[in-house]
Amino acid sequence: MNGAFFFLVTTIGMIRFEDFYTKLHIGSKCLTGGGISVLLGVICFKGLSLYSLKLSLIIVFLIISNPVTSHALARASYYSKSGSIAERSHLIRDDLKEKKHGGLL
Amino acid sequence: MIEIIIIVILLSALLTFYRVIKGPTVFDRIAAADSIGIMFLLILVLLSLYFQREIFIDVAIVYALLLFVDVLIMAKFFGH
Repeated sequence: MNGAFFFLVTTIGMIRFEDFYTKLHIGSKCLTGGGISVLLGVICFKGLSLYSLKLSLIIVFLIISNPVTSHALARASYYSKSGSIAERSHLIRDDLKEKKHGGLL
Repeated sequence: MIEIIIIVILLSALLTFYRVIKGPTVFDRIAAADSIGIMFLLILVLLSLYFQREIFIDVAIVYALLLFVDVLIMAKFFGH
């Protein structure tokens, strides 16, 4: 039930927030927390077996892959020319702006 | 109990699909599609618990791998 609550929070945030980086933030954190809590509940329900070994493999993969995809999306959206999200969003401090013309990507 | 959780996750995936249709930029749509993919992965795990079939877990592992590679390639492709 805890994981289902996390998924509802993710959906509400995904609809309500109008900035891109806040959407990416809630898509990264709440989704990982909801997935881990649902899978841990299923592991505690089934007990130790090969089944729970596969489920823990899914948990480890979710922990590794979700920050990597969020980082790749944020970096690609910052350096994209046509989108220009960084000028339209409500960024308070932008340290990466001096490095933008160095051609990092 | 499991049916309630599956219905709640399906409802949230349906509401997230609104963001895929009406996203202002491309990256909003990619992030929303990523979250819908993870929600369907967990629905697959819960369905394997509901139907007592252990073969669905292997499908879920392969689905997580393909989702990871998919989002990375889309971020690399739309970034330029």
